[in-house]
Amino acid sequence: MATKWQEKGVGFALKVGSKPANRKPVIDDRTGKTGGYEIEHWDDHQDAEVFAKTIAASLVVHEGDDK
Amino acid sequence: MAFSTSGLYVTTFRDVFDTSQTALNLDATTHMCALHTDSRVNNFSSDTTWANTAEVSSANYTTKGLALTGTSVTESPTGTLMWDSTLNPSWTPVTFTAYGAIVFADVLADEMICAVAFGGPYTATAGTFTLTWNTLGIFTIDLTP
Repeated sequence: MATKWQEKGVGFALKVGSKPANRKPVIDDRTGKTGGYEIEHWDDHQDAEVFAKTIAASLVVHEGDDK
Repeated sequence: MAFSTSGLYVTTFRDVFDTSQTALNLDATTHMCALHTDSRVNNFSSDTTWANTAEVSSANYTTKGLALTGTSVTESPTGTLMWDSTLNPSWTPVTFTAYGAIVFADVLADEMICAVAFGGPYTATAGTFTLTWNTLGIFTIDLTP
């Protein structure tokens, strides 16, 4: 019986240690689409990855009467 | 959410074009990228110089953030000015929540160039915080509409 208990214990430890990171998408409030990720690791530390959007400015030609 | 919009700071660009002739060199590798919390309120019309108001705080994060290297102003696509940096700023290990980044000219008394809102909170906990610029650049100005 003791041997079986030890084998189960070893198996459990390996399973916890190899738990993959949890990659959570962060939704951009402005677009409703994924803007980046937070990555939770098994030891409770967390990374953050932001994928910035380009600031796009543009000239506008106004059509209208001459001054 | 206070830090909710991205933009260019009007006062800085006005001073580049008017008699102030502010010597904003976007090719310089001294422009800083600082991260901020949601308490940061940007006024693109009246903000002039950067201050560490509502800047994130953590071990391994120094106030003013990181200098952007590999900066360049190019025409891309045709008719459009694109400003970009090959450096994707990264800090590790850090613990904070950031809502946006402000880029400012360290050698021009911290005149502010642009703000990039992230669109929500991003939290690193004893981990790596990475800001990846868009492949289309940090900002573009389409000069030929």
